[in-house]
Amino acid sequence: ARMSSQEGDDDEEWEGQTVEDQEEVTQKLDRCYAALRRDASEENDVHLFREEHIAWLWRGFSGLPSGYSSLDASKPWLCYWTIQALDLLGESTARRAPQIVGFLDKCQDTEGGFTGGPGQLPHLATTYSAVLALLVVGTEEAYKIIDREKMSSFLHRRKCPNGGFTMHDSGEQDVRSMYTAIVVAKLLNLLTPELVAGSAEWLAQCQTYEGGLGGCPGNEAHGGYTFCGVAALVILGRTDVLDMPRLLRWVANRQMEDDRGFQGRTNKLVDSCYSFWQGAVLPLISYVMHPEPESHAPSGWLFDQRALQQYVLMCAQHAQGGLRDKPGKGCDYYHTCYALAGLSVAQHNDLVITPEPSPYIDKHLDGNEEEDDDVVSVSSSSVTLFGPTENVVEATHPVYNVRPEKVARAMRYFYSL
Amino acid sequence: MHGRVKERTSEEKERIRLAAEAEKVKQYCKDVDVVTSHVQDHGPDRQTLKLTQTVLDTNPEYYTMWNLRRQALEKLQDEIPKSEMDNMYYEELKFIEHAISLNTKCYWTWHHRKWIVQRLAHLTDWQREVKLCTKLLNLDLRNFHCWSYRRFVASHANESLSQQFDYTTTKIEQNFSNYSAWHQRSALLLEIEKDDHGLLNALQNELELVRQAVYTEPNDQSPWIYHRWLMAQCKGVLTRLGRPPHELAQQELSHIKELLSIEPEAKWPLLTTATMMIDVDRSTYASEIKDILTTLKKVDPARQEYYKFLETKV
Repeated sequence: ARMSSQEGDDDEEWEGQTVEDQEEVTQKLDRCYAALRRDASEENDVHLFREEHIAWLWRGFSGLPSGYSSLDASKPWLCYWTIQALDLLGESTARRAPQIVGFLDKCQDTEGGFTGGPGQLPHLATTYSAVLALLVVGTEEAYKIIDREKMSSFLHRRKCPNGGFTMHDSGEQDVRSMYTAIVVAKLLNLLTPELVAGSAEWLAQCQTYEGGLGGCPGNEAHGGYTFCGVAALVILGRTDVLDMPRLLRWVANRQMEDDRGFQGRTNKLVDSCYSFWQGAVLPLISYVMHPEPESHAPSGWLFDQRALQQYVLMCAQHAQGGLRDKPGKGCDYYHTCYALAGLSVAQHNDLVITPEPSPYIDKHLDGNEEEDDDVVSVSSSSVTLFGPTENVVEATHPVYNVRPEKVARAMRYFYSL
Repeated sequence: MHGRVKERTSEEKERIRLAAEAEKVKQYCKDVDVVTSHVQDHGPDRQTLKLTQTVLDTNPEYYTMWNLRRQALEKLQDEIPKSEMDNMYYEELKFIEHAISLNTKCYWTWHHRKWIVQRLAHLTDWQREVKLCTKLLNLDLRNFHCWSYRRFVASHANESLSQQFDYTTTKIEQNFSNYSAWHQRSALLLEIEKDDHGLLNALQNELELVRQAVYTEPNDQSPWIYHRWLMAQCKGVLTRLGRPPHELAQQELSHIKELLSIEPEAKWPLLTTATMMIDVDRSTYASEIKDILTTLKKVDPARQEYYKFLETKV
C-alpha cells in the first residue's frame, strides 16, 4: 500500500498507462536478465550485494539529502525501513539502539501513539512503523518506552462506528489504517473485541470483483491494500469474510510472466516493493488453508519463487548499494526494505505465519537468547534458492514483516504484563 | 586566463551541491519551526494559512500542516463574515489544485479538498470538480485517488449513473487496458440495472463489448478479468430468473474456442476456459481441463504452482 505516499505508482508521471509503456519496461528488464546471463555463466554468479547494501543503509544514519524532505512526516518509517533491511541482511543495529530508541521516544505523543516526527500529530502509520522499529531493536528498554495505556486510548480514538479506523485525527479512513491499528494492538496485547467490532465486515467490502482488496469500498484491487486487509483478517481470525479462491487467483496473476516480479494492480508495471506486498499474501493464503504449522507448504508457496528472486537480484539491486523499484529508478529505503522482505519470502518455505504469541516460536527462542546474527541456518528443504547459498537472507514474519524471533520476544514481553 | 571560463573540478561541484542541499534543508526546518512557534503563541489563525503554505509547497505530505489549516479555517468561520469566508474556501481550492498538480498521489491533499468542498456545500461547483477529475484522468488513467474523488463529486453533481457509465465506455474505447474504467463499470452496472431482465440484457451487451476487446488484443488481461465477473453475474441472474444457470456459459465457451483456434496458446482464453469448465461441469470436462492446465503450465510457467493447485480441484 502507499503506507506513506511512498509506494511505486511513480511510473506514470503525467502519462497514461498504455501497453507500450509495459513493452518499454520489459525490454529494459530483458537487458538486465541478458546482461547477467552473458557475464554470469551460471546462476551461482548472481549475487546479493550484501555488503554494499549494508554500507548504504548505515549511511542513512548520518543524514539524508534534501529530496527526503517529503518524508519529514514519516521519520519512524525511515527508521523501520532501515533497521529492518539491515536485520534481514543479518546486520545487527544493537550499537545504535540507544539512539534509535531515544529518537522514537521523542516521536511518542503525550496522549498516545507515535507521530511522524517530534511536534507532529500522532498517526497510525507512523505508530505502526515506530512499534515495529522498536521490535527490531528487541530490548526491554525499547519495549518499555511505549505508553500502552495511552496507546490504547489513541487506538480507540481512531475507531469509527462503521468498523474502520481513521489514520489520524480528522484523517482519512482506509485499509492501511485498519491493518496498522490491528497490528499494533495485537503486538502490544491491546486487542479487544470492542476495538475491532465491525472491522472484519468493513474489510469484506473492500474485496473487489477481481478478488484483491482496494483501499476502501469502491476502489480497485491493489497489492498494498490487499496485503494489509488479508494480514489484518489473519490476525482477527476472520478470513472467512473473503472469497479466498478469487483472492488467490488475483494475487497469483499479479506476478508478471516476462518481468518475473509482481505488479501492484492489473495492467500496471512491475515494482520491487510488491515482492513483499503481493508475495507475502501467498503464505498467508496457505496458512488460511492449512493453519497447523506442520502442514505448511513444504513444497513452497503458490508463486514462482525463483523468478521473484531473479527480479530482485537481477533488476532491483544497485551495484553501489540500495534497492530500487525497477531499473532506471533511484534507490530508496522503502524499496530496499520491501524488496529484501520479498526476497526473504521467496527464499523461505518454512515460515512462522501464526499471528499469535505461539509456543512454536518460543521453542526456538529459549536457549537462543543471544542472537547469532552472523549465522543464517537453513536446511535445504526449507529454502527455495536462486543463486549461491550466500544469497540467503533472514526469514521474516509475513504478517508483521519483522523477524519471527523478534516478534516472539516482544509478544512474550507484552503478553506477560 | 584570457577569456576562458574557469572549469570547476568535480570535487568543487560536489561541495557546491552539498552546500546548496544543506541550505535547502536548513530553510525547510526553519519554515517548520516558524509554524510551530506561531501556533504555540497565537493558535491556528489567518497567518497560519500563510506559514503552512510555505511548508506544504515543499512537502505536501506533512499531514500535521494540513490539519492546522483546517483548524485555522474552522476558527475563522466563526469570526469573519460569510462572504469573506467563502472566498477563503475558494482560495483554498486554488491552493489545493496547485498542490495536486505537483503531486497527484498525495493522500492528504485529496482528503483536504474533500473537506473543503463539503464545507462549501451548495456553493461548491460540483461540475467543475468532476471536470477537474476528468482532466487528470485523461493524463493518468489509473490514479485511484482521483477515481475515488470523482465518485464522491459525481454523486453531488447529480451526474446520473448512466452518464458515469458512459464515461467509462469512453475510457475503455480509448484504451481496452484501462483497468480502472472496467472496474468502475462493474460497480455502476449493478447500480443501474436493478431489474433482472434489464440486467441480463445489459450483461449480454457487456459480453459483446468484451468480445470486441479480446479479439483486438487476446492477451490483455483487463477484459478477461471483467469477463469472469460477467459470467458470475450471468449465473446469478439466470438462476434468479429460473433459467439454466450455465446457458450463457456454453455460448461463451464456443466463442472462446473460436478465438483459441487462431491463438491456441493464449494464456487468458485458456485460463478462462479452464475455470469456466470447472464451474460448469468439472467431471464431464475433466480431461479437457487437465489438457488445458498442462498447456498453461507450459505457456505460463510463472504460475506452475497455481495450476498444479487447480489440478487438484478436478
